This record gives sequence, C-alpha cells and structure tokens, in this order.
Amino acid sequence: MTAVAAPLSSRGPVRLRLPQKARSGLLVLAGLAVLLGAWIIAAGTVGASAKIIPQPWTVVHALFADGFYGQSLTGTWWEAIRGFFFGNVAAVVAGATCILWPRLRGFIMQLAAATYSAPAVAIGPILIVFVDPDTTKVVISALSVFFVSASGILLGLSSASASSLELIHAMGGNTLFGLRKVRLRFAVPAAAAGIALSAPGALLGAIVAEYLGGDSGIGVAMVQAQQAFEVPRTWALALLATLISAAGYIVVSLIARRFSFEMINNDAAVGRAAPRLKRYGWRRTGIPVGKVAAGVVIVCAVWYALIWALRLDSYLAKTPGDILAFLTVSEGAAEHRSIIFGALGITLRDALAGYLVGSAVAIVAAISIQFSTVIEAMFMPIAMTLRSIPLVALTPLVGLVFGRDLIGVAVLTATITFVPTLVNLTVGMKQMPRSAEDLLHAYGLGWRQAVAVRTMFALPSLVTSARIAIPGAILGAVLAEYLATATGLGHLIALSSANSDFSTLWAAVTVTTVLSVVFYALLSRLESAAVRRLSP
Amino acid sequence: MQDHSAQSNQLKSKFARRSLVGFLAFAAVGVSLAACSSTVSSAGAGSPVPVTMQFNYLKNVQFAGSLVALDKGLYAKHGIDMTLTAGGPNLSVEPVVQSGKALVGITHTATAVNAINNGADLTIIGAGYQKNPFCIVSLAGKPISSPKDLMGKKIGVSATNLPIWNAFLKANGISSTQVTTVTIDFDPTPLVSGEVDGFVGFYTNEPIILEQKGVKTQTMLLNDFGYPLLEEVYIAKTSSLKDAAKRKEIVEVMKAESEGWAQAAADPSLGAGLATNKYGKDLKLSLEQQILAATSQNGLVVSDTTKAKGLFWMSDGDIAATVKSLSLGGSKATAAMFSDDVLKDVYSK
Repeated sequence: MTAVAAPLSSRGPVRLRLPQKARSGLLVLAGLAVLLGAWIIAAGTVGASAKIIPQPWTVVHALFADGFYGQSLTGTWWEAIRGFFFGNVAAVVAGATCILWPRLRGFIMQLAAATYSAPAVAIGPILIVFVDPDTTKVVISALSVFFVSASGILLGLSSASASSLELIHAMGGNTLFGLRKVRLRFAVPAAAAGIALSAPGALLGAIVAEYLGGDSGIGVAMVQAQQAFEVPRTWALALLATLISAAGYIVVSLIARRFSFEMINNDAAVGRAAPRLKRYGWRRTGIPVGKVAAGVVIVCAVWYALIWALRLDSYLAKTPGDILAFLTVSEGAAEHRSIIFGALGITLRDALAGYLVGSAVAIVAAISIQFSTVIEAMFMPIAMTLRSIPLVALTPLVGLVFGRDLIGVAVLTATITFVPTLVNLTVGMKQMPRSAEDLLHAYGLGWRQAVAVRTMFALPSLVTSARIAIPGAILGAVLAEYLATATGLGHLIALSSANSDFSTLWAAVTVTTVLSVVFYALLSRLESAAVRRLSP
Repeated sequence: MQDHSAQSNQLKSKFARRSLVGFLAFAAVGVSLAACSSTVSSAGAGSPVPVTMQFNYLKNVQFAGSLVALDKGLYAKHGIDMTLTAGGPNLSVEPVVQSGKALVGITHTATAVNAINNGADLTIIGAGYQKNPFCIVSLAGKPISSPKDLMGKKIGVSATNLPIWNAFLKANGISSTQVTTVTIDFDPTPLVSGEVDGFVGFYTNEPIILEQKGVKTQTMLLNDFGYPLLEEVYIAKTSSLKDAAKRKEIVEVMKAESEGWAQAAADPSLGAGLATNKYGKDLKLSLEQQILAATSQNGLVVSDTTKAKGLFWMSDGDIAATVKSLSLGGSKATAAMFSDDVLKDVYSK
C-alpha cells in the first residue's frame, strides 16, 4: 500500500514559510493567466466560428446576469453535502472494519472499487425506481465519494509505523487498542488527503444525478442551458461547478492540514505503508479461490435478501439468478451474450486507451514537475481542478475537437485517470530516500540519471495509482460512451434504460462492476509484488 | 497531540456501531427508507388524494396543461393533491410508473411500447400530441428535407431518442450503415459547431431556440415521412386501471389534465408564463421562446379528432398508424396497448 491520494500536506517540512507562500500564490496566478490567455485565443479562433467557446467576459457576464444561480446552487450543494457526509461515514466504517478484521479487507475494498466504477448513469435509472429523486441524488453523490475516501482512510490507517504497533503488541494491547492509540493518529494525513480528494466527487455525482430531472439544481440548469443553446450560461454553470468542487477540495485540505502533524520517523514512513504485522502464507500462494467464492456468495446473498425483504418488483429488480439465466439458458441467451460481451470488448478498449493517455500525460507532467518547482507551483493546482470539471459539460467541446470515436473517449476518460496518477507519481518521486539523493549529488550526475533514479522509486506509485485509475478509466469510458460515442457498455446501458429493458440493464451493470472488481483485485496483487520488489 | 485524542474519541463512537459491510448496510438503509415512503394510500372522497405524475422532461411549456391545472387548482377541484415530478435526459418514465412511485406518467410512445414488451404492466391511456413532434433539425445552408438527404450524413441522437430514430430509419428503408449516428445529449451545439449534419429534435423546442439565436435551420418532421405517431402519451399501470379506487383517481387526474390543456391551448402565454416564472423558475427559461413553443405545440395538441372527441383522444386510425410505424422500427406494438377507456369516463358527463 502506498500513497493512493494526494498527501499535499505530506510534502515535507516547508522552509521559509511566508515568502514561499507569497511566491506560490503569484505562480498560481501566473498559471491561471496562461490558461486564461489560451482560452481567449481559442474563443477568438476555433470558438468564434463554431460558437462553442465563448469569451471569458461573456461567461462572467452570464454569471452575474443570472444572479449566480442561487437556488440551483443551494439545491445541488445540499445534495452534495449529504452525499459527502454519508459517503465518508461509510468510508470510515469500511476503513476501520478492514483494520479490525484484516481478512475482510480485500473483499471490502473490492466492493468499494465496484461502487466507484458502477456509473451514475446506470445506477440512477435503477435507483430512482426504488427511492425518491432526492435520495437518489444523495446516494449517487455518496457513491462518487466512497471509494476515493475509503482508499485514503485505509492507507492512513495502515501507515502507522511498524515499531509502534509492535510495541503495543508486545505490551499486550489488542488490535482495537492499537487502532485507537496508534493507527488513528498516524492515519490523519493520508485519510484527510483521501477525504479532500473525494470532495469534488460529491458535487459532480450530484450534478450527473440531476440529469435524471428536478426543479432546481446546477445539473438541471445545465441541461436546460445546453438544450436552449445558451453557451455562455452552460460555461458559467460549468465554471461555477468547477470552482465550488475545487473550493471543497481546498477547504477540506486546509482543515486536514490543521490536524496533521510532523511525523518523527525515518525517511520512508510517510505514505508508504508499514509492512503488515502478519502475513498469511496461503495468501501469497496462488489465487485465493475460496475467498473469491465466499465474496461472491455474500454479495449474492445480500442481493437476494434485499429483493426479498423489500418485496421488489421482479420486473424492475433482477436477481443474480435472473442475470445468469439471461446470459445462459433463457431464450436468446446466445444473442444476449454476444450483445453484452461485444459491448464489454469495446468498453475494455476505451478504458485502456483512456488509461494509457491519462498515464502518459501524467508521467510527462510528473517529470516536468521534478525539474521545475515553478512549473509545479503554476500548474499543479490547475491540474488538480481538472477532476472538478463536470464531464457532461466538457463533452460537446471534446466531441468537437477530438471527435466522437476512440480518441474522444480516450480524452474524456483521461481527464478522470490523469489526476490520481499525477498525484501519486509526484509523491512517489519525492519519496526517494535522502541517501539516494545524496549519492546523486556526490557523483554529480546529470538530469537524465536523476530522472531515471526517481522514476525507479516512483514505479510502485504507478501501480498504486493504477488501482484507482483503472476503475476510474472504466467509469470514464462508460460515461463517455453514454454521452458521446453510442458504443460499448455505456450505450447499452443508455439504450436498455430508455427501453426499460431491465434484464439487459442489470446484466450490463453487473458486467461493468465485475470487470472493475477483477481489475482491482489483480492490481492489488501486482501492487504488493511491486512494492516488495521496488520499495526503497 | 490533543486534537487527535478528540478526533479519536469521535471516531471511536462510530466504531461502536460496527458494521460488517459498511457500504451495504448504508445502501440497504437508503433503499428501505424509500420503500417505506413509496406506498400511497388512496384516501376517502373527502380529503384530496395525493397523486404523483411523472414527466419525461424538465418543467417547461411542453407540460403547459399540467402546469395550468396545478396553478388554477383544477386537480384539487377533482379531489387530487397533485405532485408533478420533473424528468430529465437520463430518466425513464415507465419504471417510475411501474414501481408505483407515480400513478400516471407522460412519456414517448416508442419507449412505452418497448417497456410493455419487456414485461412492464402498462397501458397507454391518452395522447398529448396527435402528431409526431420529432424532427430532424439541420442547418438551412446544408438542409435535410427528405429521408434521401440523410444518406452519408452524420446525425446526432440523444440516448433516450435512439429507439425512435432507429424506428424511423427502418420505416424509410435506410440501413444503419448508410447514415452515421452519434450520441449527443439534448444539446444543439454539435449541429452549430458543424460536428453533426443534423439531429433528432423536438419540433417545438430546438428549431425555435436556434432561430432565436440567429441560426437558420431546416426541419423535417418524421410525421411527414412514414412515421406518424401519437406522442407524449399518458401511461398508467394496467393493474391500477383494474383497481376501482385507483382507476377513479386516474380518471379525475385526466379530467383536470383535459381542462388544464384546454386553457393552455386557448392562451399560449398562460403556460409559458407559469413555466418561466413559477414552476421552471430555476431553469432560466426565455418567456419569448416558451410562448413560441406553446404556439407551435398547439398544432400538435389540437386536431380534428380532439375537436370531435376531446383532448388526448386516440382514434382507431391513429392507433393503427402508430402501431404500424413502431412495428417498422422493430417495436412490436399492438392496438391492445392503447386504450381510450379512461378518456371515455373523462368525457361522459
């Protein structure tokens, strides 16, 4: 386990505090100025003929003329706040459960990964049948928060130094005592970073959910603005949403920073997990088939129990057995399989392309950041806001510039996978042990070698970020297929939802979810291997 | 370190409520809470009965009659305490009605028929539009005015309109290889930006919006090219229609709807004003555009049939034509899915 989230607060001690602060503030402004310049040029050239990119001042004017969408803002904000709260309560419970009962850890985190990539566009139409529209929006918002936050919390809880835990163990303290007295204290930085990183998800989840309809809300206003071809208003709403989610991230980060403290520890402690106290021999040997089977049985049992206990309509709610029958023995099962697995193939391709593009850009960005603290200070905060932009607002622009085929999907998906990869790589590269750095200096090695050495130390981070980025890529691919390309599982979900074809809808959602769980599980194993081999 | 003990205390109390699978418990609570609130009991004749009607889109002038009925207290007059629920691009109305969360829904005919074929227990009980409002919107400089103009073109279709689009293509003998379909999301931007050559729009919406924005367009009504359709249909659960109390509620709802739409059709600015300033206030609608939309909508709502039989009436001929159109597109519609029985009760004094 390594840094999943962005421990901005763990970047090490800051020297020369005040001047540094002023300087980084100026640099962020400079970065914004560059961005604004690019916007104005784009609006004046491509945007002018296509009427798709309005000038910044037109957007600001719309923002003022529309009175900052007061009511809509409050509505969406309230959904997002509740989603953020419930998502994080669930994440804390999940994180603590993982520590108290380590055997459940794999199962719980795979389930969490499943919630992350089960797309709102698919969950929404199912959920709204069972709960009221407001609850639907809150649940979707919470689902967008849960996994990112749980990953950070779990990382935090497992980052206590082994020596402290061993001390507790030696003194006769049990696991719960260790959790209370040691792990919680060590958990704060990474957990807080994860929670902060999840904050934009709360708002974006609520906005996507609002595409199911409503009287008020940023998503609702955006649907209307897009249909009414009010381009400056669409941009104003997207800008507002971006600013608010970015502000959410910053506020939570700042609060977190107040609670974090300097760890008195050796070089490799922060972010990098301490080795587990116990290792089960059978875990390392082969795939733990029994465990997977137990997980499947539990999920199916809960699934059946919910349908039975709530007496859900068999037309709307399908059981695992129904889905299996749909794909194997029902009339037209062969056709169902070819539809579902054909779509799955396309989605795999789209997700892979999005993951590769996002990672490639993130690697280049991470390396440039290693070179220049100026570039880092200018663009890192802006890069962080990339995941705060609502994808629904971005689609027409991406569709126009990159087309609505593989490249367009890859770009849309990459906006989701880019940030976690960049953040983890940056942290990973900085975690080079002091001794290695001294060695570089002592030998007077050039930048090529410096990059090579840092990259080696960052490799485990690449695998770690893949564990978040790949479920993210699946989510992004499905969403992009839904919004832009009319292919793959995203399209199948849209089509079956429109036709109230619940058998196909449930099967498609199940396949999407299983896909991300499998990837998550495989990457977790790969990660442990990589960390063992490559950790400093 | 003091901060942390405070935090740990707070967290400790949360751990006290140990949950085996945190997330599932959370989801289960959400679902069960909602299940409790979803049962609607029909009250006696005295107090108004709470009823929900699900729209398939946001509260704009497309639902003028319902907004008028609510504002003028027409539902209340018929003993109904009405909640109108807005829809959106990602919402399917049929499951909401099927689940009982709404008694009546307004939806597209093709999706209703497909839902019934997929096992939903629904009946179409009236048609808001006598004519098919779907059209292909293209730029006046590069017009698509007949199906043969579609060849080799790139057409944007929103996900929820795909069944309609596919049906139209089949009705005109166009294969999916002869025209490129891309998904767009209720947004005319791709047409204006030149990304697509045309898109499936709503006759009363996008053409007017674009006209107002200074974009000259050409519209081709699907209704004029082998695809007549009763549209904006009202649906209810078949089992509700068999339940005397529920059926009575549905009849009363449709009475109020009929009166509301009569007023809305007589004065296009009435529904437009309510949408813009009251029920769809936060959508920032343009009053002028809503009035234009309401005016053109009247041509779809009012016809010789409705003048003779009453609003929403579905004549046997129109039902047959609709069934034929949908069947061409692979939706196995049957006349039995449509029923004027509720409307007969509405208009029998």
